[in-house]
Amino acid sequence: MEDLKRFRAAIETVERYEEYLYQRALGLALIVNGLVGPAVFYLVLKADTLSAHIGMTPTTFRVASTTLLAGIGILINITLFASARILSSKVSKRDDGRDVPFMILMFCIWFIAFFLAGYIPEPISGVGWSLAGGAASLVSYLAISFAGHHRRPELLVIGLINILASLPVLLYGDLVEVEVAVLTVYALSFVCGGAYSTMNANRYLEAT
Amino acid sequence: MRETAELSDPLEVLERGEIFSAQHRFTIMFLLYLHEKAGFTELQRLLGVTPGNLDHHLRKLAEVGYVKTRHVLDWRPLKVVEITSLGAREFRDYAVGMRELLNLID
Repeated sequence: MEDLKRFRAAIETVERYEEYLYQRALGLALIVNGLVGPAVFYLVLKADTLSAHIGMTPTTFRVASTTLLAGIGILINITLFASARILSSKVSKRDDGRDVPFMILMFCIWFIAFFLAGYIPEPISGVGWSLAGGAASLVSYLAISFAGHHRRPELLVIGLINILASLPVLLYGDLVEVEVAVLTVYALSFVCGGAYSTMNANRYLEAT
Repeated sequence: MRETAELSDPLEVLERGEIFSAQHRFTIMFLLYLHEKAGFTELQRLLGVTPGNLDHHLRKLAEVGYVKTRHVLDWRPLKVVEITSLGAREFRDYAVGMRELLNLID
């Protein structure tokens, strides 16, 4: 009986540790997204000037920089979640949508959202990242809520902020200043949401 | 590291695993067995113990070669606790021994 209690206490501790790792990985992933998006936008915006410096055509520069940064972003995200060892854990109850098929679904949601953002027509293409990030956050929030018990309110807030911030450009068309403002909101919302998620992770460490 | 072992004498394994009888040492080994390493501060907060108390448990485990600690430089200096291959093997044998013993009782 004593041994059973010991096992139960150990399992409870490991579950809290895994929740901490997952929450921290989510927070860092949001921060990375908040930095990569505006960086891509900046490079695309300044493609004409920057491409001349390194002897590339602007189109090649846009494609190369977008592919490179998006690739780095995806790689960092995968590394973060893999290092959290969520997919290989043997202890968590898997009742909050963190099993392998669900993680693949989440990856697909974000990948498809940003892939489709590339097809947004020219006058409003500048808010593509913001719309994609907002929509992916909202869909992720809903998917997590339907799948399990641990809701991630930061995703809901990020999603709503980005979709609302994109509305002026969607309604009034292309304005570079507004697009820059929208991307600033994008970066701030993701970085703040990520910071909240990372700080919130610490509460799982506290012994009950 | 995690394949099940056939043990001829579960009682002998349990005797060897006497060091795991303390709750905190058992939890530390269980966590490290699954995750291989963890930060000292994280462990301390997870277990709700003082640094001195955790250090005492880790020293006991390090004396028999089950864990080792090292300092790494992240964005701040960190003390990381890692399980050794001997520690992983002994803990696995201990857990399997426990299971076999429970099976015998059933």
